Amino acid sequence: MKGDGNIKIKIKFIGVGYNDLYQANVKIYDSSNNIVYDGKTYNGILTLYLKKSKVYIVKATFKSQVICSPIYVLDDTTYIFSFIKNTIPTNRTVTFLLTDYYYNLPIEKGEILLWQR
Amino acid sequence: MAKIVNITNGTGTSNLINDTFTVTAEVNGYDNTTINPSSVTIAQGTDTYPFTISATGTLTLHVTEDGTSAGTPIVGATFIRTDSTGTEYGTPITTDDQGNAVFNNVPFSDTNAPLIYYKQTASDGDHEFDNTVKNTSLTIQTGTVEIQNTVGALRTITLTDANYANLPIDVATLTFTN
Repeated sequence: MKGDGNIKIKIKFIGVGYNDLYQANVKIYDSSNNIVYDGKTYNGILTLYLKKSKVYIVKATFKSQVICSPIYVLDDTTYIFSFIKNTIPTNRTVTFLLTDYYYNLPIEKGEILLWQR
Repeated sequence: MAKIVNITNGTGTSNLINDTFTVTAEVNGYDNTTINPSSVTIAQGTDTYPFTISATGTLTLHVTEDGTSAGTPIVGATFIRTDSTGTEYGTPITTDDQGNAVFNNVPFSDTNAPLIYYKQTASDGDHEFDNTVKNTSLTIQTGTVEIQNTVGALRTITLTDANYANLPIDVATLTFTN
């Protein structure tokens, strides 16, 4: 809420989707564990008003990943968190088998396309 | 952006994170909407994921004594799908009273149609057949291949008395079972 010593801050989450697709769910707690915000990011960003010189806990979930971190609101800065660090491929090779449904014949040539949800 | 896995001879590999993906396919000659499953969850501990796809073409192998559409049909000849190396897949198909062995659900495409491999595994017992791997392709949904199974060649059989060299047996019947 604007006013009462509140300042506008941005919290940015790297690794989430665009617009309103595949956004992080975010809850922000004050030092008394009261929820002061409960919503979703847009374009991976959250803009809101928090009290200056206060500590808050940011808890964000995106798919199965969770970020839980305190922030100390000093000024109208942007706080950045990343979901990417937990999703970097670890050079793990996955094998895909493609066969003909009726004959169980291996498909000689083709492509499987995987669209991340 | 999609992650593309190139499939060669039924297998493809990719480096992937654990996540859930919607799956589509680009396989020439097949109905790409039949990719199954259409979504996959890549999870720790499982590194191999099987998919199937199917086609809607029909290939008829028409077997006659002279290999023409009007020839005498061979009934009871059997064929099976193979890969290019001759490994057999599916169940054998037997020619009907018209001499037709029909393979349903085979791929077709008007451009770069995939090859369909097959081989004959038997004839009717009275005709010769070629058991090597053959291939064809369909540029439209249905197609027919004419196959010749010639009548067995005329053979001369001799039967002589084992105790008197070269003495022919006057009258006898020999039975050959294959």
